[in-house]
Amino acid sequence: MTASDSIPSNLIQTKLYRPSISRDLVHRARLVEQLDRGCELPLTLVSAPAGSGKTMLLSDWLGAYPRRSAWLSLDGGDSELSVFLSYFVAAIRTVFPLACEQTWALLHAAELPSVPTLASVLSNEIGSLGEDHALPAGQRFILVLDDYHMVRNQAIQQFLTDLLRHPPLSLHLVLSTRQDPPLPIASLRARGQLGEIRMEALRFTSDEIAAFMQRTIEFPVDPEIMARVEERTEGWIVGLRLAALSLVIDSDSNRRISQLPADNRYAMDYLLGEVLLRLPRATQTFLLKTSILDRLSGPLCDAVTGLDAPGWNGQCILEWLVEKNVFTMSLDSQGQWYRYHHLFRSLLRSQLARRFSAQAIADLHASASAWCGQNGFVEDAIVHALAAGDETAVVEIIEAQRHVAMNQERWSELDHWLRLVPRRLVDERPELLLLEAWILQQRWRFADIPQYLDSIDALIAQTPPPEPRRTRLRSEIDTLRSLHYYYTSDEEQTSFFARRALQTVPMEYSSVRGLAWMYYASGLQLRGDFSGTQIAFAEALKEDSFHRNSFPTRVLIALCVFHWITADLSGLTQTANRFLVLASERNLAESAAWARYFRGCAAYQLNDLAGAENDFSAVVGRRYVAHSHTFSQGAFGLATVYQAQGRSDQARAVIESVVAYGSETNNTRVLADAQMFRAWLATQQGQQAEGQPWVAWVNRTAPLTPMTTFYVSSFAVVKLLLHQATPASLREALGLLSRLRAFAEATHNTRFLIDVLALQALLDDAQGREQAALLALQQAVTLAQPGGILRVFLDLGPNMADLLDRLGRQKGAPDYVEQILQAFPVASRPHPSPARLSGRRRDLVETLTNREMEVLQLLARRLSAKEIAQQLVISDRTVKRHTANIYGKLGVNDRRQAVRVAGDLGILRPG
Amino acid sequence: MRHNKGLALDTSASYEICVQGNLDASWSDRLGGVSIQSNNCADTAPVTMLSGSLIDQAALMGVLNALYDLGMPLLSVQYLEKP
Repeated sequence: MTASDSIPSNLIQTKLYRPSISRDLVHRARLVEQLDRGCELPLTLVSAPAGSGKTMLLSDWLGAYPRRSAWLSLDGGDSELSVFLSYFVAAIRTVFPLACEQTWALLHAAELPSVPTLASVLSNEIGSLGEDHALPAGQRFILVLDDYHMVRNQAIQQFLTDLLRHPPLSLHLVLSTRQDPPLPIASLRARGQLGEIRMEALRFTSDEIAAFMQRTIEFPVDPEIMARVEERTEGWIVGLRLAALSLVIDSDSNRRISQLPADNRYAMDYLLGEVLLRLPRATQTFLLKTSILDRLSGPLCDAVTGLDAPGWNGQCILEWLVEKNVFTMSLDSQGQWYRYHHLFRSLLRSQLARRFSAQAIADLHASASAWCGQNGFVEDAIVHALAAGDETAVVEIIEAQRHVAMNQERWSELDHWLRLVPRRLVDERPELLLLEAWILQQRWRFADIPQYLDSIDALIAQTPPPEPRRTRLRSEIDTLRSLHYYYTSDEEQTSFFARRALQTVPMEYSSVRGLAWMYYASGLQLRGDFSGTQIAFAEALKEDSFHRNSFPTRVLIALCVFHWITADLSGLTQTANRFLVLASERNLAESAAWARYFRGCAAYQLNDLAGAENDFSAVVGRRYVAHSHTFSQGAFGLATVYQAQGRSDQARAVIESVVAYGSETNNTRVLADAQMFRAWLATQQGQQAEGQPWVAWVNRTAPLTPMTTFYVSSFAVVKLLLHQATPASLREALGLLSRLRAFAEATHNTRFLIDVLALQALLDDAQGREQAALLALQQAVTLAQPGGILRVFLDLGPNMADLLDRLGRQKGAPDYVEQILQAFPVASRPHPSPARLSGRRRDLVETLTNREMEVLQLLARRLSAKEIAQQLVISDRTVKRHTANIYGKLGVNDRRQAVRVAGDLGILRPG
Repeated sequence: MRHNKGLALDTSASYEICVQGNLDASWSDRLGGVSIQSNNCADTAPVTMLSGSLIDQAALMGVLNALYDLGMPLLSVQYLEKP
């Protein structure tokens, strides 16, 4: 992923470009040297009023400086933490192109992590720049944040405070601002950790003024005028430049200068008026009209001013202004973007307000908005439309651009646009409400969606929109409804809405179509129409040739889930691999995480622990790239693998990190699942005490949702109840299992039906209902066989091994049983102690007479009938009689089986 | 070059600022190093007083803006003549 993924690249460039120094610049050695000396400190603060020459000083300093430096010009639009940090990282990347990958991923995750987390991650990544990129020992790279006073957002201030409390050694931060920011400056200053240049230092000295005037004004200036300029401006550079400009434009300015008002501010206003009046009329108008723009380019200015004369257009004028030092700075090296000096611009705007009517100004904004919208600068287009008071335009811009952005998964940008729009307006426009619903969907906040759909329906009913808009709106609503019904397991409604959506969602809405296909196919699965489901998936993927963007990701996720639900592990592996290839081809990091997660699920159930560990740890390792769902489930997978491998500490560590993640991101579902897992893990690791409190957390009445994930916490609850083994807990387990069974059958969920049946078998066995247990187990094994599911059984431990063994002895038992048993670690394979024998078995042992017991012992020692007769001093025939009785009582057919049963019963004596 | 026109933008001065509300003393570091004292009387709304020497007007404006951004209404700003 590149830095400029979500923001048009030419706008980024203008903010990262170090402003070029003006021709009239006087190199101020004393200040530059001071900045040099501050370079080994964490922070330099340049704090002084507007027009003191801060930007020029810093630009001059870095231009001559041999060290690596980056620049970021801030403005009012950077008022959100994620936007600010995106630019921050982008600035760092102008020096270190691949830096701060983790922070970047964090910024584009579904939910922004907390400020301390972000600060810590970024601080580490900046710190490592020193090591990775061979900064000369002890040297810091420089990052200038210009116009820092524009930042008023508390989260951003908190972020930098955290960063400055533990400043990375490789960074020298320079803040250029009009007033001191609320950062821990006092303590840095006290510890000598702060470089500082303030207004007093920035004043031009007499020598510097003389040098400046000499450079700017080609003819010699009357010393008296010089003295007056110095006195009036007090070394304030903007004042000086205005004075110089005024003298250049009209050399007969003696009188004018002498009339300069005593105060800086009024002098400025006065001189500006004078300067403006001396400029050609067309240029004046140009300046006033374009003052509404944060950033200027030739074509944009032409759009705003309506200039159309060949040879004298916006581009020409801007270049002329720069050349004549009329407070215009270029923002890139191609001469495409410019901006006015802040003070100059604010004065132009006040002139504009005086000379133009409100309507005329609104019209200027409207023209700017139109141009920006047509040229892809969506945010600027919105801002100008709002300034023009044209709410319809705002809505139209977002409506026109939203699907493009959705198809490219630019969710944080979409969220940002919505926040620029007043709430009242959003509530009135179906398309904007839909956008909000889509953002919720992206965040998996499904429960919040229905109320949006109801509001939209109400709006449409109130003022029915014309076609084709109406059908398009309906198609999006249908898609969201089918999603809602899927999660309530209403197969009929899911299919109904998804089918209708597929018929009407336009092909350009790739993102929406992907979802419609996903729920259409999933609806068929809910009904149990598996072949229909597969056909649907195939159809959906064929459609990708039209889209060629992120369209297939949702379809592939749903297809993987389908394989999982139908316990088709080879299908799952195959599709996951295909998904992984697509993800890397199209550079989709989140999808790659999904693919590996699914592959891990298959590997685990196939008992390929190494493979599962590999995939799950890849998902967990990139925790903020993956969707929160993928991360948490991947972590459960990894912990399960570790536990299976006996790596208890690591299993616990993984779960702790999920609990932390759940709290940090305020995700109650993840938190609940993780705590249940933790309780189960504790019982597996022999710790009784930790397992107990979970009982209170179990929500017994919560409706069941489709079981599509690696880990379904309901089963952990059943296992915990079984582990408790009290009559009450077993009863409850029984109740829960029968609910789960009904649900799994109703939703045709083979995968988890296997779990239900296996647990049912254990429960029946524990309560002495052996035949029922064997029957349930048989069903489970039969379902597990085609896909090769192993771990469901292995994870249930020696009790399951024992039950499987008994199943295996029965006539007509599936072959697969043997395969499962072989997969058990040797230590878990059936060696039942007498205490664990079922009641019936115990009875069997008791019916053997002493003599029969003796014969059995000798049979086990491989003695022939003759040898046994000799040993026991009885006849051959008697031996044969005893043997037949033994076989009859044990329910076996031959010596081998008899010995085996005897061994199982633990009645064979050693030796 | 300086004329005796009283306080200038770039000279240091002492101020006493009062705002409505409570502010933790730990904010001192981020607010120009001023000392912070909160006053919580039973009947009236709480008041916080910030006082100290600020290096110049840019520092003062930084404090005032920060207080505004923290949502604390300004009750008074008093320039204190240096003793």
